Amino acid sequence: MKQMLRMSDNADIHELEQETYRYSMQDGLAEILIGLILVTSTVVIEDFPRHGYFLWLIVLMIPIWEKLRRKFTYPRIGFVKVRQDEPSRPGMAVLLLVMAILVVVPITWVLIPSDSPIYDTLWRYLPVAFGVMMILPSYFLVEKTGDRRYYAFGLLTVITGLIFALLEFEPPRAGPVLYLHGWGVAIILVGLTTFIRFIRKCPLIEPDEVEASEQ
Amino acid sequence: MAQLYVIESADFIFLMRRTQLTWGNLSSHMSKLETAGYIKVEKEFVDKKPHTILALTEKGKAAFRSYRKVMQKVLNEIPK
Repeated sequence: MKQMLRMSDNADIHELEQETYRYSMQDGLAEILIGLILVTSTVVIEDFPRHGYFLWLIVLMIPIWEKLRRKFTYPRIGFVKVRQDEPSRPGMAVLLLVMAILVVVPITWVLIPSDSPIYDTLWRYLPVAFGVMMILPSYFLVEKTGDRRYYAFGLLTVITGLIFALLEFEPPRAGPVLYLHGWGVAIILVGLTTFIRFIRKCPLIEPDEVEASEQ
Repeated sequence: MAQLYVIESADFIFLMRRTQLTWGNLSSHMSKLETAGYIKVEKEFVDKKPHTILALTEKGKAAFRSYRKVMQKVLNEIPK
């Protein structure tokens, strides 16, 4: 009866979708990827003219991530392509806010001379901007997984961003570098722990079973 | 079908894990659904190994929605 109720209720269909998304992302590899992107971006920030090419490394990480999922994840829990729905209205609002920050901050940086006092202020408040941008992925994850704990992630990134803005760093760019590095390492560690637990919890499907089904 | 309804596509391993059915059982169900035109089956090779991807067709989605409506009506008519 419960199963029948589940399948007839719109809310439970949505719950099933969220459960499926949580299931598909249980390997921890996404967290490792995001952590690596954050850590790599600190190299770019430290000296963009010399290390700007590291941005290509970030782009290359995505196909590497997919290869890792093919090797470790899909043979254990199977392959699934989740639906890509249109973002909700609040989601669109958050997305637009992040896009605005991504446009305004670099333009402001280019326009302001490096010997201007505002330049150092920008570096100082960059962690806050990053923290606000992290609200987008945290909101997206709550929508997709149904797990409201991801709101805590967004809140923490903003709070730690504010804390870093209040601290004095010499040079000023050390603040955002430390912030991104710290978050990147923390997220990588979470991802690695999740990955190890995943490998232990989900054994590989026996090749014989797969071949039998494919015939 | 509920599981296929909420995603775009999936392979056998995924459906087996999620439905807790055996290979044989799942294979049998999928064959019937394919015959009815409710799912489409695509076979490909990944690293020289056969790989089957399943997805609900539009007919399958409509059938599932219709089933859900009927079930909701039945459940609503059950006295409390």
